[in-house]
Amino acid sequence: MIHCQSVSKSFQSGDSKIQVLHDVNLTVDTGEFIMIMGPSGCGKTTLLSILAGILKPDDGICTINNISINTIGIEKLLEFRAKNVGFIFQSFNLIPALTVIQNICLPLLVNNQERQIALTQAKHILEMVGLQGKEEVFPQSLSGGQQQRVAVARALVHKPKLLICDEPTSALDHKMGNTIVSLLKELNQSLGMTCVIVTHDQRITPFADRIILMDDGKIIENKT
Amino acid sequence: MFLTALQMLFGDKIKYITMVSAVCFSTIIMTQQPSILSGLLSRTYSFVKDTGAPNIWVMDPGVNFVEENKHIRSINLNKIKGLEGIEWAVPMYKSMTIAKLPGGKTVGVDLTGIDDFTLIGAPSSTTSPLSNLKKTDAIFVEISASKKRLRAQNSDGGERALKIGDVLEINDKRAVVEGFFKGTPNFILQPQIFTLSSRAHTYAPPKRKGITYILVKTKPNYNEDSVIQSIKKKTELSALSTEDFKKLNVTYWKDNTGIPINFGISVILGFLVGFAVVAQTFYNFIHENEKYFSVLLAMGLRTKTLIKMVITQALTVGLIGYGLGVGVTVIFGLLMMNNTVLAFKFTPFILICSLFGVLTIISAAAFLGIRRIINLEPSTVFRS
Repeated sequence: MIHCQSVSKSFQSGDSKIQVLHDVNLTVDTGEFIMIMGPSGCGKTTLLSILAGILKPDDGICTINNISINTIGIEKLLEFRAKNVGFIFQSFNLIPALTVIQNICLPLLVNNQERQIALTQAKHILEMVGLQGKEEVFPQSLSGGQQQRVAVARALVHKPKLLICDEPTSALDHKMGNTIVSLLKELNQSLGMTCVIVTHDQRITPFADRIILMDDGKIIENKT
Repeated sequence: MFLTALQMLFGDKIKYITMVSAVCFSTIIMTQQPSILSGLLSRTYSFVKDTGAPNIWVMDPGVNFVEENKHIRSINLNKIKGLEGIEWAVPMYKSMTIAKLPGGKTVGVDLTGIDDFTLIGAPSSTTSPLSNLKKTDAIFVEISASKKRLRAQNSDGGERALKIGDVLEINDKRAVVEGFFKGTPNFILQPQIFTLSSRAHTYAPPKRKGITYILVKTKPNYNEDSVIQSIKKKTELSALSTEDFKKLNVTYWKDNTGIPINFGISVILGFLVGFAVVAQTFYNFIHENEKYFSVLLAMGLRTKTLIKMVITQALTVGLIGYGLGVGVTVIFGLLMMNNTVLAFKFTPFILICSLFGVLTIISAAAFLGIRRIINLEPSTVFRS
């Protein structure tokens, strides 16, 4: 599914260049449920952005489903992300002006899906995450756990092959965090999608098929 | 995605209402103030417009506006009548004088004397037959003035509208109200009174020259301009087509009063207030939604689709605000239709200019929003 070889990435900050990733090698198989861990500033989020096709590496090769992120054109990359990648964020990032069902529809609308069909699919996925009846509710009236379930539904509604999660439990208590990750794991197994989670939360590591430990822009441990 | 853009806009109720209200406010100022100005300026030639029959007005070359009343010698009438291409030419006498109303109150009036024989130059909408003007001491009074500035005083001290048969004194001469007419209010708002030209001479202080205007109608198939040139050549007077005489009036009042500047300042202030409020609020709206726009970009939405969404939001705010503003102005205009004091003339030109003003405001707002969107990076979604 994902194959990164000698991937490096740096950012310009004023006159200086900050090397964020150094020669990273990583392979993730289809259907794998992996977690990337490490201290703040170690390059987890940059690696996640590259794996999601949001950032391009400066050096090295990164292919996702045999598509090279390095060389793909911008239009193809957008189409690739729209069809193949789902996102779950630390702070949910649900649009407050839209209802739950409208939020969930967004990835389908980005893929030019007809609105009525999108609504039907969104209702179905909402049931899967256990929030039936909350279609017309606005996100801010839901609890943190419920909002993250909506975010999960939004990430999965277009049946992506790759699910990218950035600290999905950091805004939740332990119990709710566990519930969300077990839901992700359940969906990972039933839908067969690949799941990459960046987290600091040690309590959810038992769910992982594999844990990637990073420090100073390098993968220092890769344990199953 | 355009429906989503609108849902995002309508969902932020406070900003949406603030922006629509600001555009609405600007539109009201940009339509209502010029409409009042336009109405006021149209009053400068209301007498010319109400006197519909002639197509050429002959007058003293020094006349700048219709109420200026500079008189010309009567012999000029015969000179004009003798010219080729003239269907008819009749005298009109105008004078500002004082009328004493029943009960003793005195009021300045705009007295007009029309041709005794043809009655050409009389107002078109009258309550009594025009022939009543031929009765002894007969005058016709403008109907709204008869209910306001020309109200008669009763013996008990109360006031009432003038009625048929009431007797006024004009320059110590008897004048009997024999009819009313509906006239467009003039710029100087003097109550208008019509009578025969011969009688008007007895009411007004005696003048050596007995005509104020000569009203002329050209024969069909004769060129108006060439007739005007021949009148000028023969009489050395000023001869203007009705349209040119209207323009002369407008130009005089426009150039010699500060009215257009004052109204212009109001319009500019309205535009600037709308501009500032809408641009600022829209910028904040985009700024606050940036992280959600980043999410959409991460999902694979194209930047140009995002720009179209922002333009849709700006256009929606602009057009709803504009529609409401125009609606308020139209309602204001309808309410003022029968008001003789407040002038109001809402023209298509004002509608187009105000639409241009609103489009400028929302274009600026959209530009500020697009500037932020263009530089948006989808990778910012991972910043908590």
